Amino acid sequence: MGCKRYQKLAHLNRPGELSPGQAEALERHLKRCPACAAVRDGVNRMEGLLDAARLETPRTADPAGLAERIASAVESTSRGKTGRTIKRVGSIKGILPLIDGFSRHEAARPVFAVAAVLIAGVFFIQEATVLKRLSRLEKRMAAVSGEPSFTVRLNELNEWSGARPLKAPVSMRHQAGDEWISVRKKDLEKLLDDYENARRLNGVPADVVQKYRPQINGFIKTERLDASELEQVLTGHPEWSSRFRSWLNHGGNI
Amino acid sequence: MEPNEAFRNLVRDNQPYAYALAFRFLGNAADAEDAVQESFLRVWKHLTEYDPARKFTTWFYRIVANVCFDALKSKKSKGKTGQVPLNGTRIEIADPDADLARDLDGKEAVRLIHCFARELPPKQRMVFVLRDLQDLSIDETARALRMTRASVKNNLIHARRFLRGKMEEQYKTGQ
Repeated sequence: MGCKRYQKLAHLNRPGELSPGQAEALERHLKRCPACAAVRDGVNRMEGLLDAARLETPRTADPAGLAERIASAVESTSRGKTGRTIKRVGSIKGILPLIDGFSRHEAARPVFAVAAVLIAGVFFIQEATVLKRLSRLEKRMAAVSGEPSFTVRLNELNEWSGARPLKAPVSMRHQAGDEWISVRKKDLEKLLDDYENARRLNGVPADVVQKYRPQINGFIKTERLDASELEQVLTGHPEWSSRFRSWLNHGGNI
Repeated sequence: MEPNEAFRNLVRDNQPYAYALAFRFLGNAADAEDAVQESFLRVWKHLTEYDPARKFTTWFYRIVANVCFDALKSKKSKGKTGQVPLNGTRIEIADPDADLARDLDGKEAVRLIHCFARELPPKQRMVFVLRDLQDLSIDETARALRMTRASVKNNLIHARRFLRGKMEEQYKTGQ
């Protein structure tokens, strides 16, 4: 190790800053190197000044006033006056000994529950609307092809999130295997738009969407809904939405 | 929701230390008070991130240090470095004949250290303040600044060398 290295180590003169090996090597070197010893002397003199500097603790002129300003700032922030969002969801372990009474957020739980129900409702209505449009498309395709019915596979639509096809893959229920059938581009584009928007908003996989389909169809059949009533269900009319939820809760199926 | 009594106690107990730390980082009372206020706001907003397995003060020091670091960077970007304009203008020493050895307890020398410390780059300044003025250990300093021990020591060496050089130069020219 050269003088440059020892002069760096000479600046670490407070307890615990050098390992025993480093301290021993440094001491040996200082005994035979006046230049490095002079550096160490300067560092030690500085330590005396730093002792004095440590004793001079800066204090605020108005500690009570500062504490009040802090409390006001915290209060304003908590009320959102500063426009900042406060995220404080979940349990607050460990800080409870410091900040007691932190269980106040329990009061917000019913709000979260209502919000969850509303979100679920929006999802349901959106998906139901998409399914309705799919159903129309299937009928049109059936009419064009002369086959009694077609089923558009949502899983396949789901895989097309990137490139938009000019033709939709459909499978005929009464025939083995798949085949390509032409669909009017504007119908398909609109359908895919709706479908992707619904998926993007809800983050729900297509297979879940498909899962609801028989239930909606079953409800329509059970209630003998006409077009306007169906519209009310799909647009979240309170009475019909409530009846639909009740029907589902009582094990409604096709 | 208002800060409850426990939070007020937390402020009362930790405010003096936070202020001393911020003042030593930032060098003036107004900036230090702003930094203390912002630090407690961050404590309030990030309570959920506090790990009770660790000392509250260590977590708190880090918040104060971060706030001060941001303030220093902000000042630097606005051209207000917080540095004392020393180039070309020598600091007036009360007794120009005093030498470093005889003035070890002198308030003048302490004032000079604070002035020169404001010329340090932010990282070195923070390490120097925490270790040499606030008297934290190397480990505590490393935890508060999220640095390695080696990095703390390296910054400390540079800071002490710079300050020692400045002080020696000051007293040589003063004589």
